[in-house]
Formats: sequence, C-alpha cells, structure tokens
Amino acid sequence: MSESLPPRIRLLQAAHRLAGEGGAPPDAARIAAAAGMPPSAVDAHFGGFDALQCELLALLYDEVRDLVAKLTLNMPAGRVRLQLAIDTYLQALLDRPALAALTRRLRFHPRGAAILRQRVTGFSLMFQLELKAMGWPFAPQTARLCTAALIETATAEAAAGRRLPELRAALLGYFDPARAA
Amino acid sequence: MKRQLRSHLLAVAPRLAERVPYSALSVERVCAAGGVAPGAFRLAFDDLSAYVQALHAHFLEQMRQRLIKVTEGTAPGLRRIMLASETYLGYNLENAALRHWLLAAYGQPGVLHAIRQQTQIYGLLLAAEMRAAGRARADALARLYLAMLNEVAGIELRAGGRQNAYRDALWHFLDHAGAPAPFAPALTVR
Repeated sequence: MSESLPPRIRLLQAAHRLAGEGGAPPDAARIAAAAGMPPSAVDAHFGGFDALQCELLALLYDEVRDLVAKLTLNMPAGRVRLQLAIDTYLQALLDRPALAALTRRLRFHPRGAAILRQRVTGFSLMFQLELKAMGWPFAPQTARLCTAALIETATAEAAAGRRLPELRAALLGYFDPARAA
Repeated sequence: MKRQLRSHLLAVAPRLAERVPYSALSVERVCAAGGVAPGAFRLAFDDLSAYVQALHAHFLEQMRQRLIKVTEGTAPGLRRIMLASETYLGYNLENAALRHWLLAAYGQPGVLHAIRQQTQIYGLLLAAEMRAAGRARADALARLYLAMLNEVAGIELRAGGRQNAYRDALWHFLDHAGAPAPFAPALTVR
C-alpha cells in the first residue's frame, strides 16, 4: 500500500482488496489496519463507515459495468449482445459476494439508495439500446421492467450463492427472436 | 374493545396518510386522527412500529379479498393473471398515500418479513397459473413477473396514475415469455 496516496484512496483500496477476498464485507477497523492506518482513520477521512461503504459499493458496481462494457463493446447491438451482457452482469455480481452484501446493507441508506438507483438507470438504458436495435415493442418500458427482473435474478442468485439457470433461461428466453412480435 | 379500537385506528390511516408523510407519523397524530386519547393507543398496539406492521397486514388482507372477488369464476391462466395484476395495480393507486407510507416502512424488519412472505405466496400462486397456461419454467417466470409487476406498481405510484405503456410491456412479457413457439394469440393490448 503506497503511503504517498491520499488517505481516502488508501482506505478505499484496502476496502476493495479485502472485499475481493470473499466472505462478508470487512469492518472499519480491519480496513484501517489493512491500509496501515489507525482505526479512527475511517471516521476522520470519510466522516463515518457508511460513507466508505457507499464509496466501495459504487466502485464495485463500476467494476461490473466496465467488465460488461469491455466484453460487449465490439459486438453489434441486439439480442446476442444483450444476452451476453445479462450473463456477464449476473456472473460478475455472483463473483463479488461483498457487493450483494453491501447492496442489502445500504439499500435504505440515502447515499446507498442513490448509488443503486444510478446503476439501475444505467443498466436500463443499456437494455433499451439493445431492445431498440431489435425493434422490440415498448422498448423503454420493457427495458425498465426487464432491469427489475434482472435485479430479482441477481438477488436470488446472491441468496443461493450460485447460478440459477432456470431464472436466467426464463429471462434470456424472452428475447428469442420470435418473441418480438 | 381492544379489537374495535385496533380496527378504528387502522381505518383512520388512509386519510391520515394523505395529509401526513411517513416521516412525520407519530402516535399522537394517529390518536388525534382517530379522536382517542394518546393513552388508548397503547391498549391496541405496543408502539408505532406495531401499528405500521398491523397496517401493512391489513392492507394486504384487503387486497387479497379484492383479488379473490375479482378473479372468482375465471379459469386459471394468463387472463386470470392479467385480471389479478390489473386489480393489484388499481388497488395500489386507489390507496396511493397509504402505499407510500408502507413503502417508506420497508426498512422495518417486521414489514420486510411480511413482504417476503407475501411475495413467496403470490409467487407460488402465479407459478400455478403459469403452469395452467402451459408456460415453460413456470416458477422462474412467476418470480420475474412479480418483480416486473412491482416495478410497474412503483412507477405508477410515483407518477400518480396509470401508465399504459408499462402495462402493455408487462402484458407482452406475460403473453410471450415461456410460451411454446408458435405461441398462442396475444392477450389484449388496448
């Protein structure tokens, strides 16, 4: 851990690293220790543990978004790209159990809820783009509803701790070409 | 006596919800709306949290009765799901102020537990309807459909009225998801 970095970044990097080790999200004291700082550092630099967790939540979601974007960037818009994006998104969430735990913990926190809303809006817009390319009826509305279904799938998989193929197939199957009537 | 007092205090909630946001809800306000002394509240409910939980249970029960009444005599399948969904969405809009209260109370463990139970029961019922309609992956579809239905309910609540395009998108999913190909003729879309 480079001591030349600003304390907030050091703490956030430490939290990110610990979250990547799996299991429950780390507590404030563990994060501070991993950053080579005293336990009071989280309060001193973030104003509270909730604020640090919100930053971590945003960081992990950005990571998932970037992964989806990277894998689908050079593909033409449409059903195949949509299905790959959904699968990648769900797998990325499943690979980050700390993200699911943080989402549950922070969903009623004002800043946490705002971060979650932003990410949901982002995924919904991506959905919309693909659906429009497919000539799907009610594309903006379907995008919003399918985003809700996607979140439900991710929540169910996080609770089960594994892929739920039936749920994925039910969602992905809806986008088969014959259904865009 | 206690039962009557409970019913009375629950009955004043819809009108109170139209005037008072959830964040300003208090025992004193409930009692004032019900015309009872503050001490009487404790006879009916342990605290405000117990009142909100009872309110939620009451709301769900009223909705359940409405759903049973509306769908009575309709054969299991997609049309019955659609009828029940329309009823659910309409009931939410009719009781919008109260619904806003209950949504704000989702953070309460008791309310959250009741919602999970309700979702599970409706999921089972929906899956049976989906199976009756010959849909593949009925359990999974039911779960996804419920998430979408609740999304529409939330959108309509925030918009303050019926949102036909969202309902049409929902009917499209209901009509096509899991359908054998070639699928049955489309359900009504206005």
